[in-house]
Amino acid sequence: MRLHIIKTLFLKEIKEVVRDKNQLFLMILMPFFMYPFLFLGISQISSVQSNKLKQKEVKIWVESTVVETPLYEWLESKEQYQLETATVYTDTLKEAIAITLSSDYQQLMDKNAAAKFQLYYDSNSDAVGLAANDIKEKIAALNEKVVAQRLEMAQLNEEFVTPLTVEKIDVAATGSMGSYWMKMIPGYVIFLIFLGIIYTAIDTTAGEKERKTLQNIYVAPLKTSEIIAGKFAAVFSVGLLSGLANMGSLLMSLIWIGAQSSSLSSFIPTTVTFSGWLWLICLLLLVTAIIASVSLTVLLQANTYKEAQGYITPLMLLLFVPIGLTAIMELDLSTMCLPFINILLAMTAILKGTADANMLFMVVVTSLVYSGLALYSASLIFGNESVITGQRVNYRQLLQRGGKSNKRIFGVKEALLFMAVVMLAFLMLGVPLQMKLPIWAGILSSFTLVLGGLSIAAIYYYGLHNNLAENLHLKRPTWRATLATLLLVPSTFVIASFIYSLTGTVEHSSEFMNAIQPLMDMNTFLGVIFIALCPAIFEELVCRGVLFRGLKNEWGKWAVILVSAVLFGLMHFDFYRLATTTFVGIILGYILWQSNSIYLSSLFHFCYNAMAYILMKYWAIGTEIQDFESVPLIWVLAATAVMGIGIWLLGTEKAEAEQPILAGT
Amino acid sequence: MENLIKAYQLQKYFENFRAVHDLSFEVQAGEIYGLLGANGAGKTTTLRMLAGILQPTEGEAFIANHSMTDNSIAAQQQLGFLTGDMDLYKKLTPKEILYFFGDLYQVPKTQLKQQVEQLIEAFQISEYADRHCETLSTGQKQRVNIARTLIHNPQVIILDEPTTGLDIVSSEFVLQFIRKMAKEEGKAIIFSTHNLSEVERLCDRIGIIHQGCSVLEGTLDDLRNHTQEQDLASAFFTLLST
Repeated sequence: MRLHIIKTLFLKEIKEVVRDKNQLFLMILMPFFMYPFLFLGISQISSVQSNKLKQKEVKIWVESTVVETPLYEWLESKEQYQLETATVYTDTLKEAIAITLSSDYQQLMDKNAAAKFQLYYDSNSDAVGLAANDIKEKIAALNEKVVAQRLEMAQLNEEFVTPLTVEKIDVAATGSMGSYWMKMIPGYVIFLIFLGIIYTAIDTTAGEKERKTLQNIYVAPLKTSEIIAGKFAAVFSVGLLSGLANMGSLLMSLIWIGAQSSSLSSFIPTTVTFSGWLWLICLLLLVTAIIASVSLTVLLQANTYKEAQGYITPLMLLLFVPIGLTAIMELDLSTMCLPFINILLAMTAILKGTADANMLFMVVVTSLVYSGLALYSASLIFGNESVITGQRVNYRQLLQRGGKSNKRIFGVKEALLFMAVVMLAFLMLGVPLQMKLPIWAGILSSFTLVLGGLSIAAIYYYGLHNNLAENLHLKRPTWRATLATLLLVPSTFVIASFIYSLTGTVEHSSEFMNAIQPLMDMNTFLGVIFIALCPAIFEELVCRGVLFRGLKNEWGKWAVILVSAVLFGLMHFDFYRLATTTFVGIILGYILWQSNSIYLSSLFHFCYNAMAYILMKYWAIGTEIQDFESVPLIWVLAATAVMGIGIWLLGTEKAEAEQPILAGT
Repeated sequence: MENLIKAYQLQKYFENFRAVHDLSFEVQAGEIYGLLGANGAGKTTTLRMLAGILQPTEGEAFIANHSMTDNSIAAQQQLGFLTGDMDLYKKLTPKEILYFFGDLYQVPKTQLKQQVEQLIEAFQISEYADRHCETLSTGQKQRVNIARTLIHNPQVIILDEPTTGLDIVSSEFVLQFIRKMAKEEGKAIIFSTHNLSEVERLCDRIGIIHQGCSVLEGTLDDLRNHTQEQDLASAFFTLLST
């Protein structure tokens, strides 16, 4: 993908949005001014209306017994009440209130018994309704007064009539946003983002088809992925901007009118830390990306603006169902993979102050994967010629041939898709397998089924098996490269431990140790098989085999090494170890690129994991893990020197690597 | 002369419908090739396959020796494609559209500025070069559209009914331009239209297709001789009726 092409397409789309006054007004200006208007307008109107109703005259019929009570005196003092003393006929009562009271009221009071007022009113009239409430409150006040008098007469204190009391104490920190309304905030923000996205998405897809401008781009020398990336960037930016503008306007309106001023402290999430805000921003970007990708995918199937509008309702349902579900769900292992829902739950958890960084990291990784998959779907649909011919998209053909390229090559896009599927499958299939089965069976089955199975499927689907040795780098290594790799194992281990000691936390180290405790208790030989051999075969097959091949088919050395390393790091689904695993991924990628031999990267992986396992089992257990992780600086310096030698040896390897001795030849 | 457009046994099926069947032809540099056929004959499908919008079910198309199937990016870099149903971005100005497509075709910045100025002058669009395209007339839009097609100075130009909806003056301008591009600049041009007099005036060779198949290909004289008709219209109807 060429970034300058994507930028050109993005700027064109933005220019069109900015110059379309209707779109600009609908998406940004109108909502921006709508909230102040709505809040101020409604509060003003309701206040005026309420005052008017309170001033309105209301007729009140009272029975003669009521005249003897303090209530009558109070009613008389109110100017808006017109009192009439008569026998009350409730069936003919209209826009008025009638008050009855038992005839033996005074006797009942004298005997410290209870008398009953009956309040008849016509609820069709708002003024009558207000007056009825007013009277009811007054009677309640009179009641309290009588109770106080009776207690005094009986020389009893107030506790006599309230022997049991209850006090609710909210222990959530101030500003933790635990209330119902606060839980709805993420859903509301996302809904606003959706509104911003949808109109731009329609305009750049169905709108372009209808205006007959799409062919112009289709015949230009562009890749489908570039076109989609340009459109996606525009839709994403406008959606985010629109959502944030809406949210800003809403918050400003609330603050401005001061309606919530007394409870504003609970409205503002004061307990969200700086890192919490960073996570929130990250999740907001991801959720915008997912909505933008899904909207583009769906709307590309419409040929006209009108047809596209028909897709808005299903898209909204797709949005509202998860928003509704979040009210009854919590973020945990079972919900962290649910697309879209996991982001909402993560946002709520951050606002409530209950979020765990590792869980948030899993949500970010899975959401990245979902977003990538949605974008890939959009790219497939856009690459399909039916987009231009206006026919229905033939989904069966999507994975076989598209409009702009009909070759089934294995490049960057395909490699990333493969990784996305592997990561999702690992989370959805691998993790449950590891949790349900005994640890050895869980690891073995999840590695072989998920990593091995999907790699073999990709190898056959993309025809990589036709030249397996070259495609998967099955080359016998040289002695020099092998020596370099063996030098890199301990040096990388020391430096990686140093990096971890800088980034990891003691608490997490303990958690990690607890998680792998069953492996530590296992026979050492079996432990090495599960901790070192399985990853050395299967993770290498995935990352340095299939993924590396796809990236290498289109990109240069450092792009391939860095991207594969980051994906290798993400694949471990451990936030605290992300820096470490990515660093190890860089070393593994470098070994493979220089030696062209997956055997060496597997050897490194095996030795590295085995070393870590044995050191943890026989050295670190029983002592504090942090002692092990706190690496002396002299070790780091020595390791850097050894690593330098290893890298230098591998760096001189390239000339020899030009004469491959492929496996099986 | 080099064959800049090569179509080899092109076939296109939409589900079970055969739109184009076994169509082959070549167009040399400096040549204007007229593609004729009634509505639904398969002209647009053929041109779309040549432009890389549609993938042939069978066969292959080459533009300036680049396969549209295997190397569509290189092939499309040498192609200018314009059909009657391609419109302009209404919120952009002609100048912005030319710069936009120049960037997409990766015309170097300094060259692009010069190219835009030349095209604006050649197509007499300076008067409305900074107006939004939604305010332009059909003729003005078509001039901008053609300029857009040429922004990257392609070796091959495909024009599908480029004079549709234009008045006589604008049509004549387009026809003169097509002749100039082929004869003075040596571009290979495929010209598809329903206006047979335009074909008679402009095309060096003509290919007639009917129900997706090639019926006859040759010069105007070849067609006259084959059908024993004096004008193209009569020859066309004779061929379709046989």
